[in-house]
Amino acid sequence: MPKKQVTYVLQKRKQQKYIKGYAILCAVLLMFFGFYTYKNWSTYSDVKEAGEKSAQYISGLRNEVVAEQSSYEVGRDEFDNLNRQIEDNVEEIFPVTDEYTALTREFDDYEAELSTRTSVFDVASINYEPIISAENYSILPARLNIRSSASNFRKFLHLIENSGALDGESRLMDISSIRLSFEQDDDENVADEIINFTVQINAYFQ
Amino acid sequence: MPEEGNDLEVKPAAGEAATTDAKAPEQAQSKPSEAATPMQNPEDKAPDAFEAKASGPQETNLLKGIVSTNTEPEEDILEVAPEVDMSLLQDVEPPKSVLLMVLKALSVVILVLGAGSMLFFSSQLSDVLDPVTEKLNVINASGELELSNTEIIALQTDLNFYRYMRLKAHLDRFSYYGDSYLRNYGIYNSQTASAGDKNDAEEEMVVARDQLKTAFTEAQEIYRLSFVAPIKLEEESELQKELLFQNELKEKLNAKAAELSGSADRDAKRAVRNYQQTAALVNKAQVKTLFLSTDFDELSDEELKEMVKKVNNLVVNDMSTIQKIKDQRIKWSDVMNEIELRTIAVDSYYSSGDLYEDVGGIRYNSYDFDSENRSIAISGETKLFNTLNFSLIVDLIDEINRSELFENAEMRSFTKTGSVVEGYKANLRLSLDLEGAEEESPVEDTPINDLPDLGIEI
Repeated sequence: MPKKQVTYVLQKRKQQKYIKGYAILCAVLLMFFGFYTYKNWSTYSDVKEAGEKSAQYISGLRNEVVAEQSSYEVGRDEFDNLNRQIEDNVEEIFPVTDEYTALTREFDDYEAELSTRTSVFDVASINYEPIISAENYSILPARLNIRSSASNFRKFLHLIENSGALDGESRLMDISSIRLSFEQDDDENVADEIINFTVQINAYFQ
Repeated sequence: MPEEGNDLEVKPAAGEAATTDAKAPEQAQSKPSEAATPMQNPEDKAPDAFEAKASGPQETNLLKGIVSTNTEPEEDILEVAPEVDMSLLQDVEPPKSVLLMVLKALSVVILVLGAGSMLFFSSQLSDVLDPVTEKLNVINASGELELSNTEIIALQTDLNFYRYMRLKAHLDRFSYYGDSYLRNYGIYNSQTASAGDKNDAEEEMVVARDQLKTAFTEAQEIYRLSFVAPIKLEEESELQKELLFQNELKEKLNAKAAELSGSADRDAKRAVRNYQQTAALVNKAQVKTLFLSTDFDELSDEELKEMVKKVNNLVVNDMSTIQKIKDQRIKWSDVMNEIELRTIAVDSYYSSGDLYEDVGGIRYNSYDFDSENRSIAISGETKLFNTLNFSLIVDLIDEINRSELFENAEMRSFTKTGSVVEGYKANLRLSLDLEGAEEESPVEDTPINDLPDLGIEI
C-alpha cells in the first residue's frame, strides 16, 4: 500500500479510536456524576424537607414551651410549699445532728402520755451509747430500762414502730433488741401484768 | 481505506507487462484504445494468442515483429492524460467526524455539569465551602438543618425541664402521702392495734388514697408525653435520640444546680437538692414503666401499699432514706402477738395467766429480740400435772415453725422436776429466727448505702 494511503488510514483509525475513547469517557463521566448527583440529590431533598418540617415544628414547640412553663409557674408555689413542709418534717424526724436532748424530752413525753395510776409506765434509765456512722445516716443508740404494764408495753412498741411519720413529729427510731421479764405483782390496783424490759433503741439522724 | 485505494489503483491489461507506478495513470487513460484494437480485429488477435501459447517464446517474438511492421502508427485519439500531483496527497486528512466533535462537546458539558453538581452539593451538604458560601450569602441546607436541630433540642430540653420539675413535684407528693398511707395501712392491719386506732387509720387511708390518686394521675399524664423531638440525626435510632435528650436535660438540671450551689440561702439549697434529685429521675425508666402500666383505680389496698414502696425504692428524694429505714423496721408488737397466738394453740389457758399455778401450762419469763440478726430467744417454763411437759414443749416448737413469721424454732435440751401431786415443771429455752427476712426487705433491691446524701442543713 502506498505510504500516503497508510498515513490516511492511520489517521482515520486514530479518529475512530478518539470516537471510542470519548464515547467511553462520556459514559464513565455520565455514570459517575449521575450516581453522585442522584445520591446527593436524595440526601439534599431529605435535608431540605427536614429543614422545612423543622421550621414548622420549632414554631409549635415554642408555644408548647411557653404553655408548659406557665403551667409549672402556676403550680410552683404549691410545689415549693410542699417541699418546704417535707423539708421541715424531715428535719424534725431525721435531724442533722443526734439531737439527744430533744430525744430525751420525747421519751419523757411518752412516759407522761402512757403512765396512769392503773397502768404503769416508768422509764427508769436512759443511756446513750456511742454514735454509729453509716454511709448516708448515723445512729444514736439508746438503752432504756422501763417498768411497764403489758398494755403500755404494747403501746410503747407501737409508738416506736410508727415513729418518723412525715406528718408527725416523732423522731425516726427502731428497736434493735428487747429483753423483758414478767414481774409477779400482787397489787390489785394494777390491772395487768408488769413487764420489766430493757430496750435498745436506734434513733436515726443525718 | 479499501474504497479510497480502489480509486487510485490501476490494473494493467491482460498480456501487457507491468509498468512502473508513475506510468500507471497513463496506462489507465490509454486502456480503452488498446482494448479497442482486438475488438477491431478479433480474428487476428485470437489465433495469435493461441499460436503464441503453442509455439513458445521464439514464435512470439516473430509475431511481435510482424505485428509491429504491419500495424499503422497509433493515432492519439484522447489527449495526454493529466498527471496527478501526488504531493497533494501528503496533506490529505480524513474528513472531520461530527460524532467525535459531538462527543468532545458532550464530555466537556458533562464535566462542567458534574463539577457544578459537586460544588452545589458540597456547598449544601457539607461545610467545606462555607468560607465562600458565607461571603456569597448562599444558604447551606445542611447547616440550616443543623441549626434547626440545635434549636429544637434546646426547646425540647426546656420543655422536658418544666415537665420533669412538675413530675418531680408530683412524685414527691406521692411519696409524702404514701408515707401516711403506709403507716395507717400498718396500723389498720396490725394484730395488736386497738379498734379505735384501726378506725382512725382506715379514715386516714381514704384521705391519703385520694391524694395519692391525684399525684399518680398527674405524674402518669406527664409520663404519657413524648420527651423526644423528631429531629434529623445521622444516627436515627430512637434510643439514641432518647439518650441525647436525657443527657441534655441532665446537663441543664446540673447547670441549674451549679448556679445556686454556692448560695447559703436555705431556699437556694432546697432548689439545688431538687434539681439534683430531678436529674437522678431522668434515667429512671422503671418509674415510667410502673406509672404507665398501672391502673390506679384497680389497685387494692395491699397493691397500693406495694406500689408506694416500689416508687419509694425507685425515686430519690428527701424521704428516700427515711423510707428505707422504715422498711427495715421489725414490728415487734406483731411478733410478740404471733408468739402468743401460737402458744394459745398448744396451751388454751395461756391468755389467762392466773390459772398457771392451778391448771398449769406455759409461762414466759423473758424475750430477747435481736433485730440485727433477726433472731429471738425466749425463756420460760411449763407446768403440768402429768408427765407430758416435753411433749407440750415440742408441740409449741412445731406450732411456732408452722407460722409464716418464724423459722428454725428449736430447743435441744429438756429437763424437768416435780411430781404428779405438785406438778412437773420443765425449763423452756426456745431459739427461733424471723422468716423471709430477704423477701420482706425491699432494701435488697436498692442498697441503702447507695442512696445519695440528702445534705439537709439547718
